[in-house]
Amino acid sequence: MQEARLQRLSVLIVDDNQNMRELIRAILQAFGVVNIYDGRDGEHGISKIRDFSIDLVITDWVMEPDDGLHLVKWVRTSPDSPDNFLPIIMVTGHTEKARITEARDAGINEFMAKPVSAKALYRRLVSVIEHPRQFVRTKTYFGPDRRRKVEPFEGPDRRAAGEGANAA
Amino acid sequence: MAKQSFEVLDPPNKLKELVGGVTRIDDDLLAKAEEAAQKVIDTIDLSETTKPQIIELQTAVDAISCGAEQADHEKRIFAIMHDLRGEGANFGYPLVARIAASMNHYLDSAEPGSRARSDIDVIRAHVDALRGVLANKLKGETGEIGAKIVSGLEAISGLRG
Repeated sequence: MQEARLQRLSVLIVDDNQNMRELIRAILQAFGVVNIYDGRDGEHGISKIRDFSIDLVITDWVMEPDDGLHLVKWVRTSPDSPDNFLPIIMVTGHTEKARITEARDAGINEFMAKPVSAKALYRRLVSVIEHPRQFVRTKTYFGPDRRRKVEPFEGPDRRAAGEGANAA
Repeated sequence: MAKQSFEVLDPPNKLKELVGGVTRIDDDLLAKAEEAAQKVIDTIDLSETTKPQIIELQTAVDAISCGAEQADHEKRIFAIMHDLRGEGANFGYPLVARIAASMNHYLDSAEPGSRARSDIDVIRAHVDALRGVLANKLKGETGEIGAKIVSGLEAISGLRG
C-alpha cells in the first residue's frame, strides 16, 4: 500500500488560512502521513522547523507578517537552518509566470497553484521523492536546479558567467 | 581554464530513505484522499468564515475613502484578496476566486499608494461584489448575472478585455 510508505514522513504545513491548513492536513492524513505540524506564517513555520524534525514543508506564499518566501530563503541560506536541502512545495493562489519564477528563484522544489487537489499534491510528493533535483550554488542562488531536466544545453553558460537569480 | 563560479550538489534523498521502495500514483489512495478533502470542503461555509476578512476589506476601503495613507491599506487588501482567491477556488465559490483575482490584477499593476485617489471606486466595486456574492451564498457557477458582474469587474481591472 502506498499510504504505508508515507507514514514515516513528518510534514509541516505553513498557511495563515485555517481552512486551507485543514484541507491539506486531511489530504495528507488520507495519504497515510501521521506526523503533521502547522505554522501560521513564515516565521512561525521557521520556529517549527527549529523545534521538530521536519522532512517536507508545504507552504503558502502570501502570509503576514512573514511570507512563504521568507521561510524558503531561511531554509536555503540561513546558518541556523537544520537542513538547507529540505524539500519545499509552495502552494499558492499566484499563477502568474513572473510569480512562479520568483518562487523558483527563492529555492522551492515544487510549485502548486490553488485550488489544492489530492491528485496535484500527490504528484508533487512523488516528484520530490522519486525525482529530486540536484542542488546548485552560485553567487546569488542556492537551491534545486531550476532546469527541471538535465539536458544538453547549447549556448553560453550563464552560470559560469556568474549571472544571478534569473540565470537558469 | 576559468574557475567555475557554480557548484552542483547531489543531496542525500532523505525522503526516499524514509519512504522506502517506489512511490507511485495510486488511484485508490487518490480516491480516498479526494473523499477526505471533500468532507472538509463540505464542512466549511465561506459565507461565515470570511466575515472577518470582509469587515477588514470594508474598513480598508473606508479608510482610503477618508483620505488615509493608501499604501498599507492597499497591501492589506491585496493580502486578503489573495487569500480569498485561493479559498474561493477550493471551497466552492468560483465567483469569489474570480473577483479576488481581478482585484489583485488591478492592484498589482501599480505600486501601492501610487494610485489616484479616484481609483478607490474600482476597489470598492470589487469589495461590494465580493460581499454580495458571499452574503447571498452564490456558490458554484451562478448563471448569467453573476458571470456578467464578474466579467464587468475583470474588464475594469484589465484582467480581461
